[in-house]
Amino acid sequence: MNEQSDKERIRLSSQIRHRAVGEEGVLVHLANGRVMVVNEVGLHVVGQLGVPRTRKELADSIAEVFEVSLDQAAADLETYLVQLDAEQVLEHS
Amino acid sequence: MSGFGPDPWGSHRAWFALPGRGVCFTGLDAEQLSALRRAYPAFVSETIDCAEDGWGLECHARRIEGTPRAPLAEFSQHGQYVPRAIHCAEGIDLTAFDFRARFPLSDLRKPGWLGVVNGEDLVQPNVIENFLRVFAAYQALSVRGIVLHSAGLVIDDRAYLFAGRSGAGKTTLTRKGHQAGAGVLSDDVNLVLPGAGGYEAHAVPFTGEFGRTLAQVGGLAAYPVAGLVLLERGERLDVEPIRPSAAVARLLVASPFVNTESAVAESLLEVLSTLVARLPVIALRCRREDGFDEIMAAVNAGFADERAV
Repeated sequence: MNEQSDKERIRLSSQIRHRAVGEEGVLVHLANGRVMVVNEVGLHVVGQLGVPRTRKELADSIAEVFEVSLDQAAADLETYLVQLDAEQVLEHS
Repeated sequence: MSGFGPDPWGSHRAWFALPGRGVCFTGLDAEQLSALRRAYPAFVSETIDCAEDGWGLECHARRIEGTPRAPLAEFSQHGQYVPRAIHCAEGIDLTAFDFRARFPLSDLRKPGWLGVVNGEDLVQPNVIENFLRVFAAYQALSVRGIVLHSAGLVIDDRAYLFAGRSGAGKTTLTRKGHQAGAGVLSDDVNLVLPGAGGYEAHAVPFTGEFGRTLAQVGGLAAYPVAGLVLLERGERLDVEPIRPSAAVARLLVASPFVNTESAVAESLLEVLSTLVARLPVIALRCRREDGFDEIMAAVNAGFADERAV
């Protein structure tokens, strides 16, 4: 993570509605009708993004909840953020 | 109740008996009434007292000026034609390719309206049925039910719903089922409501192409739902269990009119999650040449496995 990405805050787009179903999550994008399923880590990330978060806050949360190293959490987080960005799920500020 | 809305076509009225709450169309001319009675004999009545509270929506058939037509592409979602619904202070404003309408969401004592430019358009299936589909979708959600893009077949007094996008094979399967003696609820859109003993699929007037050309189950018949089948074309007949999240996602795509509506999207997710938790749901791939008996044997085996889990 570089300095700029450390300061960036990320949150869920206001166009997204989501719900936990079992251990996974279902997301719907109201503007384009696209529907996504995310696994439990993705669901955790989505749940955190109801308010703006930095990458570090998100990675810390993943590391704590899923008991993985911070490096592993940061790497997983980047994968999720790329996927969520591709689906226009996120807003960056 | 108020009287006729502005610019009515005539002074006749017709009551559409839908499951849950019906719709009383007022301001119809004699030709419109006659056409509705011919097209929907199991659902249309003129004898209901529309002044009674609680029967449903009073909807003024209205003449509107100018064409509401817009490019069809503006009404496409997941390859399906879907009228555009917008929340307004009075309820839902509906703009479609060839009509405009408005209906209240919660207080059905307030009237709605359905407007077309040409009187004969009002009774065309793409107008009257699409209006009823959207109205039914919102009403169903208010009682924790859904309108589902699906083929609905009745076998041994139980309803099997095959949900899938356009081209998944719903109409083909419906035709096979009809030939094999199954009752047909609809090959297009079905209404599922919670009943006293579980979910029920209801006969509806918006039956799709198949229902308009062949005999359908009529009246206000309702059948316990045996299960939901997520249908797609495949290289061989194959039934698979499906994770609840994936089932909710696919049913969400198959829940037209309300699945991108911000005010009700969370309710829809909740209703679908409950539905998936309470009914067997399986994924089915089949080929055009697969026989109906083979398909249903696979479906029933899949449902049995789901119930055993």
